[in-house]
Amino acid sequence: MNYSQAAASLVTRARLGDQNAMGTIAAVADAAKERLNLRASIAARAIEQYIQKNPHSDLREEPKPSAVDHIDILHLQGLSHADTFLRCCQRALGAKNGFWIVCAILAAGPKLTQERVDDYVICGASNVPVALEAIDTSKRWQAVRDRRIPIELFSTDVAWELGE
Amino acid sequence: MIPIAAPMAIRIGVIALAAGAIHATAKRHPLYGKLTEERKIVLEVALDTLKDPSKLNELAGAYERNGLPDQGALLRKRAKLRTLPKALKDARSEAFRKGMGSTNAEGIRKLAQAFHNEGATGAAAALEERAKGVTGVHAVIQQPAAA
Repeated sequence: MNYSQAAASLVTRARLGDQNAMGTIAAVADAAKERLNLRASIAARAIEQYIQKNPHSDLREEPKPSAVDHIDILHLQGLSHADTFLRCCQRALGAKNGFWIVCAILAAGPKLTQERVDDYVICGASNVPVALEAIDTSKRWQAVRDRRIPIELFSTDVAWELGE
Repeated sequence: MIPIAAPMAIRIGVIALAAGAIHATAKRHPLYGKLTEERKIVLEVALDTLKDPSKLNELAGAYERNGLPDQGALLRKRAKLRTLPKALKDARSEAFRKGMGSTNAEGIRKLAQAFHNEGATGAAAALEERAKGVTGVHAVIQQPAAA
């Protein structure tokens, strides 16, 4: 049995309520996340691909609308204000690539100083799903443009690839 | 079993024949030269996670022996990333930084593809994410403002 077949079997069993299969999937996912070994990463990828190709009938997602349907220009212009950013975040996340759009906008704005981040937090960023993650990613996008800042602070993997 | 006393030329010949037979057997394998789903997953995970040059080269050899020289070459390129000349590494860092600050989605995608082709898949993925964001912003800006 190869990885793809094993993944299909595990997911099918888990969907039928087999707790051993569920536990195995969770353990594989944890090991892959921690990068404990290559086999776990391969197995996790195989499981991921099987689920993507064979979504559960009850969980099949409707295709996401394009970002254009969700965010309007007026919201984009006001993104430097914390409350507007958070509202936009909530709307954008329902759109295709919404997370990356929010990051691109935020990174194009003024420098994300601690003071600005604090503003977002005061306005409730921690209550908006992935808003804090978007702020963090945008900060790293801003930082990586600055030659004085090592790429390692952006990503250790990318720094390794670029020889830093 | 080759007798120890056999002349060196004969022993080398027998080894070469055996190696040839193994190679021919591999070529006759039904999966020879086919990038199966399984092999694709292993390749993707290796490109995303493996950093040890000896392991990357070992895996590259396996792909090459199975009739997948392009995938083998990609893994070998990743294995060499750390040993490239400093000037080239600096130029790549500079290109990456510029790409991450660019608002030209098409240009960012081309750069991402170039990094991917050189085995720098992490840099390529980061640039792809940036391109997704920039493309979305352009789409929104080009939309007529709501009345």
